[in-house]
Amino acid sequence: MKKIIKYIFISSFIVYIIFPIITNLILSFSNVWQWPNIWPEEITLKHYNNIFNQRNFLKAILNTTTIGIMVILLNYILVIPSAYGVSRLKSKYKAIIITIIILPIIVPPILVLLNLYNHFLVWDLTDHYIGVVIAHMIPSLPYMFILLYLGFEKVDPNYESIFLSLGINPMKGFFTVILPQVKEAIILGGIMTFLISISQYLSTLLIGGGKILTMTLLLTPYIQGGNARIGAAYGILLILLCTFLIYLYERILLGGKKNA
Amino acid sequence: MKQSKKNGLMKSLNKKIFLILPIIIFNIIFFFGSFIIGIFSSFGNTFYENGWFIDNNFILLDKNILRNIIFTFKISSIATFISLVLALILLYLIFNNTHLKVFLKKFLYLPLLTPYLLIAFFMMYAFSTSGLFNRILFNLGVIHDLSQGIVFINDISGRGIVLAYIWKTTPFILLVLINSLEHFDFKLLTIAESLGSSKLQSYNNILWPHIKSSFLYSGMIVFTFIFSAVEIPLILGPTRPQMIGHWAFQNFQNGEIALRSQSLAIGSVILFLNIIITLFIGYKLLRQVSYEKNN
Repeated sequence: MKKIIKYIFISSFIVYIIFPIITNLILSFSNVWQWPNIWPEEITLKHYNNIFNQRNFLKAILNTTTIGIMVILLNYILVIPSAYGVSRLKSKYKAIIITIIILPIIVPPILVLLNLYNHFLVWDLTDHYIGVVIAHMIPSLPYMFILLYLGFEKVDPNYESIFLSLGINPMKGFFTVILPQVKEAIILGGIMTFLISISQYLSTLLIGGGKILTMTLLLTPYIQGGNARIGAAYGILLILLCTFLIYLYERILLGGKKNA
Repeated sequence: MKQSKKNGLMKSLNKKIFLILPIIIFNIIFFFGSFIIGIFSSFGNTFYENGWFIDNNFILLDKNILRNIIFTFKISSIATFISLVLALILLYLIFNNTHLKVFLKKFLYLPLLTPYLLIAFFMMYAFSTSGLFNRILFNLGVIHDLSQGIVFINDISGRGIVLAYIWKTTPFILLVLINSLEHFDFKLLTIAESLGSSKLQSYNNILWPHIKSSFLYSGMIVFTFIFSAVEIPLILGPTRPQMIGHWAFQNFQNGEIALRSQSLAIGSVILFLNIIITLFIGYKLLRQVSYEKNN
């Protein structure tokens, strides 16, 4: 009896998670779907056709992917050394440094964006990839930092004294001994960054000036009162794209581990 | 300097500040630069007038903002509380079942990778009055008419927002909790039970202390996030009372430049409340850590 209740609880949770996605999957294929029918009367592929025929669609996929990858790479360059440095820091200012780095989590984006836009106008970074990438880095840096910092904290500092006493080049030692131990945190941080990057709407619109089109930008007009069925189809495609990219990303990084 | 000599790799790299400096410079230029000026311009300047004042009334004394803050507080605490409890129950149900755990770990990526804007949109068609949920209720004979359908979207008590946030945050908390159990020795539970403690007792005294800090920490992130969120209330929330982030966003997008500094002022209020919440939970966390160190 206990076991039955347990499985009912878990499966109802799973159903709750899947339910909105299934609804929109049906919606995206439906042509006519009247109350109170559970299944649509007419099924069609025209919404997907409509999307694939749009000129901007491929460009948006390409933009989303490139911006995501650039944000991930730049975040790695900034975060990996600093998270390692902070984790090995024994100073009374450590708490202040961590606070400075993770403060963007609790600051509402509206407070930042308007003035960031003004700065970027002066520096001529608006309507440009670089501006959008920087705007996406600001909210995603702290999350990646926390993940990697917690990862490096768990790595025993004795490893460092061992490979240094063996006379191995510290940089080489760091990349071959320390870094592989936080591989999971690195993968998770990359995924987190990518997810934050694709869900940015306001910053992409403002800094990109509508010229840098991403999937989220294309999707928004349909959400705010356009054709809901096309919106649903877009949403499903966006989820598929993310799943595919994250799968690929994990494959590439974990595949490298096997070879090493 | 003394300590850095003890530390092997740091000695050879010598100054670890060079590792940390780039990220701090990045944050100061792009983040602090904008956000401190943001707070300043919330007081109004030549471009933006009347930041903290609405029709010459101080913004915090305005009836709207009080109502909105209370509404926001209500929604975020209810949503955070339900997701924390749900995640904890799910964790207790699955933590010693490896197959379920592996399956859920893969499955929970699905809600994590759905952007907030998208899940708000998805929720709208699943739970609206004529949505699939009410259609199923109709076909089961629970309701007999469209007007009897349960209202989730844009209703005054904000059920839709809560539903959407539970959808989005429970998986996040659950994943954090599962990860925090990675180095947990499950034999301890068996030992405790063989020594005669009840299941609940052993959970309380052995499992709970192990996950407590991750639990509080994820709760803090979720709460502050919902508190300043824009996307989900924008689509699923009622127009009055509004969630405070939604309100700031509307003033921001309105086009009237005078209103923009008001949105900055509201943003500053959100920031202030967020800092209080973070300090409160951070203090509790710190106390717990020092307690663990002393024992």
